[in-house]
Order: sequence, then structure tokens, then C-alpha cells
Amino acid sequence: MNLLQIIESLRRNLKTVVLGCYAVLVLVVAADVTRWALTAHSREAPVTAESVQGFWASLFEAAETIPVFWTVFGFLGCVLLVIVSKAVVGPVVTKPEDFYDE
Amino acid sequence: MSNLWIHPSLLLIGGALLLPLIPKAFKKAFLLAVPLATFGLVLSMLGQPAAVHGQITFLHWTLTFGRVDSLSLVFAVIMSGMCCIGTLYGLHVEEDAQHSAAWVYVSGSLGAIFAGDLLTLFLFWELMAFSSVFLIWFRRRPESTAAGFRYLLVHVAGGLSLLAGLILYVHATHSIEFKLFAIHNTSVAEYLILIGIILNAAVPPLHAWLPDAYPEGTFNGSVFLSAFTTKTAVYALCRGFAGMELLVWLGVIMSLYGVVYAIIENDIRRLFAYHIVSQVGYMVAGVGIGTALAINGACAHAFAHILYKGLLFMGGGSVLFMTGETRMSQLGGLYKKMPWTFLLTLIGGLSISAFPLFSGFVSKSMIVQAGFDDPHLYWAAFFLMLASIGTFYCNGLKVPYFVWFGKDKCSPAVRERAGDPPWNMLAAMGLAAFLCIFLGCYTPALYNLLPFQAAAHAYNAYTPFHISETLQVLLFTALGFFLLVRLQKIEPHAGTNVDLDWFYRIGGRAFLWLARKPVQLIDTAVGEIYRVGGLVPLMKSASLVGRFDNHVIDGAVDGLASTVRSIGQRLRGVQRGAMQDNLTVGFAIVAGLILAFLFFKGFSS
Repeated sequence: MNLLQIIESLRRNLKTVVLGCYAVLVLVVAADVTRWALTAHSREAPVTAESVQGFWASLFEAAETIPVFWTVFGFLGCVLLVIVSKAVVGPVVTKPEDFYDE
Repeated sequence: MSNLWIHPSLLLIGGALLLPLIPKAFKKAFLLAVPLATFGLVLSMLGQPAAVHGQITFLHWTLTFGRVDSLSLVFAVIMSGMCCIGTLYGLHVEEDAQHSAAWVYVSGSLGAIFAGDLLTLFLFWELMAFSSVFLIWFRRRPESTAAGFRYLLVHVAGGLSLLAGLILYVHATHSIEFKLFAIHNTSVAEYLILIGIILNAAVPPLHAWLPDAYPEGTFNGSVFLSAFTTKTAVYALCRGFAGMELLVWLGVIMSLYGVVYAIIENDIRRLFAYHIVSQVGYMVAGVGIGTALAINGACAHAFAHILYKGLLFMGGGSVLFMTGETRMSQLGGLYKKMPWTFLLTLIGGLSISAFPLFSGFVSKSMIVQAGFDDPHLYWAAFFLMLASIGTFYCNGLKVPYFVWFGKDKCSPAVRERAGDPPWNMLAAMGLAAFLCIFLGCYTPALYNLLPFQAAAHAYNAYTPFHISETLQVLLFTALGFFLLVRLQKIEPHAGTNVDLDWFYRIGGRAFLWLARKPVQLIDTAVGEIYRVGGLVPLMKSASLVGRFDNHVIDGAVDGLASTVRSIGQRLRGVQRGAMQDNLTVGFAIVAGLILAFLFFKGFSS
């Protein structure tokens, strides 16, 4: 079976593929929770210098101690980046294609 | 160890000069043999103790052409290797000059990397700028010619900053050795050198030349461009400015700057170019952090980056070469025609996104980890994690989806022409894709090359935490992407995104207007006054003088006149506006002036 046939068969079964993708997402989250549960007893309190108490230190602590922190970070980060780029930066810098033509 | 040390750049320059003389039957073999020989030569230096070769005494300075140590070798290995892949990719290009320009460009990079002193560094630095511009000009579109000139002007300005810094530095320290500068009490001279280097690394606000010029290069020229200039600058930063805190700031800013512009970009090769800015941001931040792990990370990431960015530009180049189109608003649904290009480009996209088992995963994470190791740098590490979301969004999702799937917006001509590219292009992409996966799976291949061996062996990218963290970030970025596709919020639209090159593109136009309108007006007025007030009486007196001249002076002056005419003919070449010739002459004059300056400084001190 050549590459094109593989792609086309995946497209024909798009519903199954999408379901499979959701299953992977669930698995990833479940795996992280498991990892968190397994390492909870051995986790030491994060060492933070006095001078860096504050937002970044608490964010770091959250990343170390809260399960699925990076799931939230990934999803919100993606949406936030797209909104900032498309809705704030885009309208300012995007000009017609022939902007620099004389 | 033998005493004979051959500079790898010599092979490439020699090959570039010989190439036009090679008979057609042997041309392809020669094209492959020269980069392979260079690569082999660099590989033969591995495993030997650090040494200095090729020292030449010039006036009373010692020029060092071959400083071979672990830092220069890791860059030299990947650059000579990429030269093989890039040449294979463009193997079917008939024009010798294109290959020669690329090889001279690579030799400039290798020369700068092996340079042990600032003067040699500068020499090869300029060689890079003046050879690489041809990779843009050879596309032969009016836009490319203009972009090439802008590229050259920006790099000449950067080169001048480097040169000015070099002269001041040499004057102050009486040393031309290229070593770690004073990163705390940095002098003006060192800042000028830094500006010259970070311009080549495309650090904002000195970055606009890159997304302006690289998408205008030839389909294979841009593959070379994407690899050498910025990574040579990263090498120079590692050597000269490791641990400078300013670089952490600049690196983080550029990693996000590139991402934001890439998200709104429509042209795939320009999108990839903005991701060079973003990825080099990681390396610059790594250099700024300056710990053994961070410097290892910067080198490893440069190594991995050259391969996956080359692969992405080869994918974009294939789309350009086969369809003549690179705007996502005019593409879509190409998987039927170019399935292999899709798969190979996707591998590049997964590598740059640092997916587990791909090269970026084992290199980028070192820099981020170095940030998380220092509580004062948590902010930098979090912002770099945020940038990696945008990296996957653009390279791993947006380009593959909107070029090969999504809505088919191809014109009939584009659809007709589309197809997987010739064998040599696919082979080069396959080779790069294999190496991306190989480096990601077998980490010692890369880690054994890094400058700080103890830190490299102590580092493990494949910890459960790191794998889990990466998969969560990337897969939920993908979820966000497909949701936004579903909501029809991110369809690519035609448009030009104005960047800081606006200042010199529009500024240059203002200068032209000034030259055309007011200056021309004055010129016309002066001409008119001259014609009425000066020319008519002059003609009369001239005819009198002419008669006198004909009879008396002619004989005496004849000899002189012919001399003057021959000088005039030579000067005419300069006046004709052959810009490239003039630049060469100008460059030679500047180089002569520096040497004269150094010469006299040498005598006076």
C-alpha cells in the first residue's frame, strides 16, 4: 500500500481517526495523573530563593506539583497566542499584498 | 597527528573555482564529491585534542585560520554536513554559478567558525554576506533583486559595526584574539562587535532582513541561507558573549516575536523564516544563561535546527519548485499530488516542535531546563515554553494542514503542475528527515559532540516528567488548533505583514523622492541658468580657442589626451552603475583602509 492510499484510507475513516485522537488526549492526561500519583510521596518542597517569591515562583511550584498543569498551559497558550496575533498584532501590521509595490 | 592541516574552506573554494571547468559527464559526481570531501575532512578532526593550525604572521599580528576545539567542531560538522544535503537537493540545477555561490558561502561560515582571531573572523564574515546574496539574486525576479540589495546593505552596515568595534577593541587591548569578551563591564568596542554579531543572528530590532530576504531566494538557495548565517552568529555568541544577561532578554523576545509574526503569515517560506528568528531566540537565550547545560543546549539546538530547518525549507522549496506558489491562501489539498513532500515536511515540523523521538526534543529542552534550574530565570523558561506552543502550531499544524489538506484553493495551473519533486530533492529531504529522527532517538550521536561533556552525559531528555510535559503541551495545542479550524478563525488570508524593514523600504523611497523632486528641480534650474548665461558665450570663446588649439597646442597634447582617454574609459566602468562591481571595489578599498590603519597603528604603538 503506498503512502497516498494510506492517507486516503485515513481520510475515509475520519470519524475513527478523530476518536482515536481524543483517546490519545485522554491517555496523555491519565498518564500524567498516574505519574503525579506515583511521585507524590518522593517529591520534596521546591527550593526557591527568598528573592524570587512571587508570580514566577508560584507558577513554577504549580507546574511541579499540580497534575495536568501543562495540559492547561498548552491549550490556553495556543488560544492566547492566536488571539494576540490575529486580533491585536494582525490588524496593525497586515497590509494589502501590493503594499510595497510602486 | 600530521603537521599538514587543510582548511575545509579551501576545498569548497577550490571546488567552486574548478566547477565551470568540469566536463558535463562528471559534473554531478563532482558536485557530490566536493562537499563530501569537506565533510570527511571535518570528521577527521573529531577525537583529536584541541589545537591551533594555520597561523600566519601578518605585520605584527598573528592570524589564526584553524582553531580546532570542541566548540568549533560541533558547528563545523553540521555545517559541512548540511552542505552535502543542500547540494544534493539542488543537484539538477544546471547553472554552475549557483553551486559556486553556495559553496563559497559555506566556506565563509566554516572560515568564521575556525577563525581564532577577530580579523580572520571579519574576513570570512564578509565573505558570507557577499556570496550568499547571489543565492537571492539568482531567482531573477525583480522582487528578489531588490530584496538582495536590501539584504546586502543591512549586512554591510552590520559588518561596519563589527569592523568599528574590532578596530576600537584592538586599539584598547592590543590583541586580536577572539575569546570571551568582558560580559559585565562591556566596553563600547565590545558592544559594537555584539551588534555586528546579533544582526547576523537576526535579533530584533535587527532581524527584518531575514524574513525579507530568505523567502525571495531560489528554491535551493534558501535551504543554504536558512542554515549558515544565523548559526555562525550563534557560534560567535557562544565564543564571545556566553553568560551575558542581556542575551536572555533578547532571546526570549525574539522567540516570541518570530512566533507571533509566523501565526499571521500567509507565505510558507516566510513563515519558516520567522521561525528561524524564533528558534535562534532559544539559542541566544541559552548563550545568555551561560551555564554548561545552556551552552550545550545552544550548540545542540543549532545542530538540530540546521537539519530540521533545512528540511522545512526543502519542503517549502519543493512546493515552490513544483507549483510556483508558496502562499497558503492559494494552496490546499496537495496531499493527492505531493504525499511524500507532505510526510517529509511533517517530520521537519515535528522535529522543530520538539516532539519526543524527534531531534528538537533532545536539544531545545536543555535550554529550557537551564532556565528552570535558576529561580531568577523561571520567567524566561516559561516564555520559551509558550513560544514552543507557537512553533508546533505553525510548523507542525498550520503549514501541513493548509498546504496539503484544508480547502483546495489552488488555481488550475498550480494543480496541474503539482507533484512530488525529482529524486535528488526527495533523497535530500529523506536524508535530513532520517537524521532528525536518528538524533531524537539516539542521543549520544549529538551529545558526544557537545563542548561540555560532563554536563552532556549528566543530562537525560527522556525523563517521565519531560515526556509527559511535552506531550501535554503539544497535543493540547493541536486540540486548540483544530477547534480554531472548526470555528473558521484561522483561514490564511492574502496580505503583506509590515515589519521593521518598513523603515528602510519606505525611508529609501523618501530619499528617492527627495532625489527625484527637489534636487532635480534645482538641477534643472541650474542647468537652464548655465545654458543661457554660460554656455552660449562659452561656445563663442571656445571656437576661438579651438582655432588656436588646432594649430599650436595639438601636437604637444596629443600624447596626454590619449592617456586621459584611457583613464576615462576605465572610470566609465564605475560610472555605468554596475552595482555589484562597485560594491566589490568599495569593499576592497575599505579592506585596504583597515589594513593600512592597523599597519600604522602597529608602527605607532
